[in-house]
Amino acid sequence: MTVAAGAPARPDFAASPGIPKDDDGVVFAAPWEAKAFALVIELHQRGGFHWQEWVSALSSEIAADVDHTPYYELWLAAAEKLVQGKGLVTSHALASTQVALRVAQSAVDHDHDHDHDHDHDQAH
Amino acid sequence: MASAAHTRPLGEIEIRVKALESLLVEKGLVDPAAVDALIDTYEHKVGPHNGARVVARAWVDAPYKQRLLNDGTAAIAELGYSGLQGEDLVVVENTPEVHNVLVCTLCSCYPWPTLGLPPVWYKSAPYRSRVVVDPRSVLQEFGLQLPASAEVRVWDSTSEVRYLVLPERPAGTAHLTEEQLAALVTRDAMIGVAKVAA
Repeated sequence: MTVAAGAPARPDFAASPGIPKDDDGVVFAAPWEAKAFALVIELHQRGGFHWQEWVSALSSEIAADVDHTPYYELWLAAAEKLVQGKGLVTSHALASTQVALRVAQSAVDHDHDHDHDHDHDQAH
Repeated sequence: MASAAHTRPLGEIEIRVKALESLLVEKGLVDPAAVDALIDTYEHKVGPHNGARVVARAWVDAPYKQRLLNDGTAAIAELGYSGLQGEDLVVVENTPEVHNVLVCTLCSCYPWPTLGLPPVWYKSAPYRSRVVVDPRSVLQEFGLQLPASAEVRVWDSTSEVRYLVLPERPAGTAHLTEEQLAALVTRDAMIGVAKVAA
């Protein structure tokens, strides 16, 4: 296979950051990474999309990323776009579910703050 | 230098994952129990120890090694490892003359059944871009100095074909059992950024 067209023939090594090294450490840095990973695999295994479609979606996110977005954030963004593109989930449903979860979350935060910070609403 | 992406409150990304999950579950497109089982599998069951067993078997069993080089997917399935990103797996053999190293230039394709999920550096832009054009400098960063006479081959994994490096068996290991040999084989050696040390 070929490297994406338009990529420089030879990167500027002086400006290129060193390659990060890691040991055989944790597979996922946070539970949401594991969940985002597994949702894609499960959806694929149940026929939601071909693996090639997933690889294209993820590759596009990675290619478009300019500010070193963490890998699983790109993974999630690719998943959101792919499920919408395949018509499995509408953008409206995704947005409204997020809103509902944010409202629920702020209600929880409100409860937690209530005992020790009565002025927190004014901060906004 | 932290970017906006790094300072985003963690709650927001968790909300996005949760929203996606609840919609998919609601529509019956995913089974929550299967999702949990997948997480457990990839956190605890698949990993480089699988690939190490394949390599050790190839070192002690010449017919197996031949099958492995002829049809990697089938030979690896003989040891019970198969599944997503393990299809169409090609095993490339390191020798004193040829050193193989793996990359996925476009994303993070990687032989999951034998190596588990890829390390952070494998998915990083510097590795993906640099190893293709100047593998020797990248290998030096990993502490691997190759003789000038050795040919370096870089294999770009895709959604259609993944690779696994069969490292050279280190000298002085003739007395070791297959299990002892497997314990020597590292993930990095099977990606091709290291050699196996005795």
